[in-house]
Amino acid sequence: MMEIMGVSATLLATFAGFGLLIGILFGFFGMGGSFLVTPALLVMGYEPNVAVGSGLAFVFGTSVIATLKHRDLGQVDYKLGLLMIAGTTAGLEVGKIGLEALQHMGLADSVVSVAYVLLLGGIGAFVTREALKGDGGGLDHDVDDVDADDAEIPEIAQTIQSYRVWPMIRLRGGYTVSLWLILGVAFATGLLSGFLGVGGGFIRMPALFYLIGVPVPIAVGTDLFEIVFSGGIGSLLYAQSGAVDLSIVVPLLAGSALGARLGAAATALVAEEDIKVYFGIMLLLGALAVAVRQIGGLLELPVLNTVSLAIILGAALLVSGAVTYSAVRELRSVPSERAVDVDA
Amino acid sequence: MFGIESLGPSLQAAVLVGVVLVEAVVLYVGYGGLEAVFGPSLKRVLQGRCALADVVFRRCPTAENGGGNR
Repeated sequence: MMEIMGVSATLLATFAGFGLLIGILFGFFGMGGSFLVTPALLVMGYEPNVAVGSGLAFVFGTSVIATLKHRDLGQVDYKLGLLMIAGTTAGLEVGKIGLEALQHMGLADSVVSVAYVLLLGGIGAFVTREALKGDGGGLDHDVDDVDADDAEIPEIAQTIQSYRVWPMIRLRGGYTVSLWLILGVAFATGLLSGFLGVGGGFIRMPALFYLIGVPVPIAVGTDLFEIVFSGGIGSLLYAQSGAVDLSIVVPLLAGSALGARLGAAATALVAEEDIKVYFGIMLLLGALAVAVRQIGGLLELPVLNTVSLAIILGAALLVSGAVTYSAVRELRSVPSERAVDVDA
Repeated sequence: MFGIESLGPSLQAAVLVGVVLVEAVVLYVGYGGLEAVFGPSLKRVLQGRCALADVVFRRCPTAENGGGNR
């Protein structure tokens, strides 16, 4: 068997291929790294700390690449990002304390799993419903083409923005929001992240859009900017105990960086409503996978863990395949019109 | 892997994160360059306006006027 720097070439190719799949989703939705990588590594037989540590290092690398791209497009609000980091850090600490208290009572696993399913399923159902309504009120992930200044602010965010509590902060896009609102949303999302033990992109990004009214391209860019810090610090902490395995992270990152470019390019081709539906389906299938794993734990049926992973990987394959298919179909449908755009 | 096992835990951790950071930047720049060079040709193949072999043998025009403006 051929080896590269002491690691099987087959394993490296597998990780690079898996990274490509995740990268397409990450580039398309601006999130979705850790909740795919860590469970897959666990099922492959890696120790839990290595699965989490390597997953964090991978998310760190991917977020660096994605943030660089969004920075080039002017879609990172650094002021908002730094405020969010402050609020999220405080929320994370409180969330961790809550989780530890539940662990002492022996309820952590059940409560966290139920909360995770409800949250993932709830956001998935909400986004899908908004998309199917087709009134433009849902998420718009077209990160390359949307003019942030002209982006539509959701009704909920408009109501929240109308409460003008001093001090008001001026954000990118020209609107002002109360500092306390930003810190409150950051704290709440950090609390959920700490409590659920997840990166929190799937909570924070919709929260920035629906609650603060940040245009989606800037919400995605700013969220990624924040993940650079949280992922970097997290991977440093895990690396100190030897839990970051470069033979996992390096090929995963090589594949995902390419996939992220393909995914980002696809956002400019696929219809917005389709994007929202895919996003909702991803979250709903993620919720289903966690529910199946939890039932497996309750009934002591380890096979359901494998079924859960199969659902996650199947969802990733299905959605990234659908994204790629939709993008290529769009490209082929009107070649002459698109050609002008491409060359411009 | 990469021969950093002999370093102390903190230094090893910093090097590991540094390696990931450097790889990310290199990939960003590298794939960006590849996209600039091969992106237009790949789009034409996907659009069905050129065959893959035409792109490989540089027989595929890269602009609407056949590449005359480049």
